[in-house]
Amino acid sequence: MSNPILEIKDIEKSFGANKLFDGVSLNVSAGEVVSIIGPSGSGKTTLLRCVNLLESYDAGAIFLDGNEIGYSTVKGKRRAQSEAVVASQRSLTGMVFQSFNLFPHKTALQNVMLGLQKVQKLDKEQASEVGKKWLARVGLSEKFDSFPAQLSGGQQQRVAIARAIAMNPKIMLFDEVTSALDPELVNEVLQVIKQLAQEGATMILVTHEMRFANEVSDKVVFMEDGKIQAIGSPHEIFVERKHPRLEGFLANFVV
Amino acid sequence: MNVIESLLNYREEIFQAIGLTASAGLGAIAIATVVGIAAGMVLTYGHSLAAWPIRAYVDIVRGIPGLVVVFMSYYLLGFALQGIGITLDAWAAGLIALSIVGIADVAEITRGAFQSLPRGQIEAGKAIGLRFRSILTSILLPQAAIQMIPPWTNSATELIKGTTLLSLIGVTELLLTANQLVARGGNALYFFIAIGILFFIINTLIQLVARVAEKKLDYRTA
Repeated sequence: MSNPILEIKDIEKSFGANKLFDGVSLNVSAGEVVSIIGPSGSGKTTLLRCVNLLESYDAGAIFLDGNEIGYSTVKGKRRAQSEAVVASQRSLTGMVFQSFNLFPHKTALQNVMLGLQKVQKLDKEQASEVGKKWLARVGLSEKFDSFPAQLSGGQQQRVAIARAIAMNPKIMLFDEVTSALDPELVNEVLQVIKQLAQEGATMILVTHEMRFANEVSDKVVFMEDGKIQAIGSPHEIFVERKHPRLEGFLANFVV
Repeated sequence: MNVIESLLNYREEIFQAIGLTASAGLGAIAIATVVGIAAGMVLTYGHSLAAWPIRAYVDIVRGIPGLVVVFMSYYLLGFALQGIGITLDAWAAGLIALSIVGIADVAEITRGAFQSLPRGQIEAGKAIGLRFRSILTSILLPQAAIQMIPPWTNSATELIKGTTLLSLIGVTELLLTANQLVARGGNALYFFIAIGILFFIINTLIQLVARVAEKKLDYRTA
């Protein structure tokens, strides 16, 4: 098996006496689509945020393409990286949030262009070209100049996906990206994600869309109580349900 | 003697007064805006060691009447500077006092505007790899600015009106000039109506500029 693009090794994190992660490890290979499912409070979103360095953790390490991110260990001492290093490491991962978080004062195209100009230092024309390409890919070629407030939730989330993937990240992180959407808008966003998955994008999806997870994932991770309880193929997780708690959790969903 | 004639007779004094009022007021607004926004950003996002003294400054200044600040600037600061051989004239003392008041106001306005922005905006900026400085200038400031304009306009017009306090330390701005001209036998009604109109014009201009800026910056109505 090829070297993993993302390697999460024994992450531990506590809030006071409350242990949020108790040794979480996960590998994601290039091109792999990994879904994380589990009850709320199980740590799925926090794990994703750790990968994007939006959340700190107390022990363990995360490697992206073989390099540790967020922290470094010098002479046995673990140290958080500087803001500049963290920022450049973050640009290697693409994050899409549940609440879109588009920049409301910028048009759809400007939302996508900002990172390209400020982080990748493309000039305005190049950034605009890349931005338009990705907006077209998510089906928004008519909406370059629309402001977020003029777009539906589904369209906003597709802009957010374009904004993240335009940075050409090594891995895309989707944090319950359809949870804030009206039901009739969920599908257009899932279709975009599915298309990206089929084109070979590496991604982790934290999701409650079990049917979708079943359909697109190479690997499904079941988290509960800050631990990965089960990892397996969609068939192993959704059909065989080998872990005792899976049955109870999945009973709430129509898969 | 009609109104126009009596005003024209004293045009030199009146123009000088307009100059002193406008320069002290607009100067204080400019200083308060630049320094206040910077202070407000430190207040919101700065290290607590930097934010704490600013917090104390803002709370203290906002708890003191503007006139007391003017006297403190003129007498205390004037006295202290005299000790090192600098003479602080009344106009400069007044400008400093109004700036001190304005900075505290604008810092608080700035903090309020930044704090009202959703947290997700910072995270979205971080997620695409932006440094905090870029997040501040490209994402947060443009959104905060639009919210700051209405309360900023309030503060700015208050500073213009506050220039009348400088009459009490002898700056011959509009109010003191009117008083002096009335004392020299001018018609009180004419002069006080005249300076009222002049203040109204200055503040209307400020509101006009603010409205244009607001329209220009507002993405919500785009």
